[in-house]
Amino acid sequence: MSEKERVKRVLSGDTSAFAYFVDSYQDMAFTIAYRVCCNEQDAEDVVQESYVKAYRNLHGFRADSKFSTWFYRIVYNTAVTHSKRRLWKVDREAEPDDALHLAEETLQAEIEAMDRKAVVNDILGRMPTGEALLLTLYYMEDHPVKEIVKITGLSEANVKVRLFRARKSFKEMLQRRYRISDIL
Amino acid sequence: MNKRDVLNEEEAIRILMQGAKMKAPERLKYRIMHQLEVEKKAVTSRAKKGSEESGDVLRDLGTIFGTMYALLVGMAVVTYILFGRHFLLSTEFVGAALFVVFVFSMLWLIAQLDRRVHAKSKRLFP
Repeated sequence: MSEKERVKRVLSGDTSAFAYFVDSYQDMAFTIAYRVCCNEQDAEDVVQESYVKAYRNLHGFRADSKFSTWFYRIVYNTAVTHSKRRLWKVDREAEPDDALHLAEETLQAEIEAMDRKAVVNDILGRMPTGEALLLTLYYMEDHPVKEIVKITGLSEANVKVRLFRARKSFKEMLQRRYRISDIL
Repeated sequence: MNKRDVLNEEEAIRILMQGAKMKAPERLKYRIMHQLEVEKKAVTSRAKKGSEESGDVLRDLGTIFGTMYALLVGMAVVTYILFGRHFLLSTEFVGAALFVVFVFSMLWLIAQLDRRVHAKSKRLFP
């Protein structure tokens, strides 16, 4: 059954058909919300609120766009409102001294033992929120730039520039903090 | 750095990132579906209440203005029998009829205000 048909079923009153959308998109929605809120509890609340908003406004979903893009835009807006954060202002940056200190003290063995997932999340957590979010959208779900434009409301050129900067700082932090250069 | 290196780097970042997708807690789906059921029930009961309320308004309208028209017809018939056809067009009769219309309109207005006040207090103290 296609997503359009599922949307029609939900609109005709079958709430259980909405479970498909919860199953399919809750992980990515949670990831997006966490990237913006930086807090699991808040991210859960944001995802729940976003699903309720999506359910209420499902009649406004136009079938010419993907459900995921439409829904992630709701998640993004809800998370930004919830966190009251100015996302595209640099609010967190890695402090070079701290990074250097850690790089000196961290043993290669410890790094290898660390879960890659934890490493990536640690770096994304240290990056400016907006940049981390762009990387998440671009790489985790293979969203093309045009869809990121629809989700974030930024211009295409802006997304490209920020994505380039984000990729660069992600790579630098990965190499500087964890001395991981072999995987890149 | 040549194009191939850039592509390899892109691919490496993609693999790293895709392995780092977060997993929503198990209880979240239950919370969401429960919330949606509550939402659905609330919408259904709101719609039911709305139709009940509009039904009440129409019933009031029918009862009050129905009585008013019956009274006006009664008045006209009695006036016709007692004073003849010409008295129906006199200022006295038209004035009396307008007074009856005014009284019943006020009655209907008070009934509506009373309903609103009751509905509001019910919402605040169910």
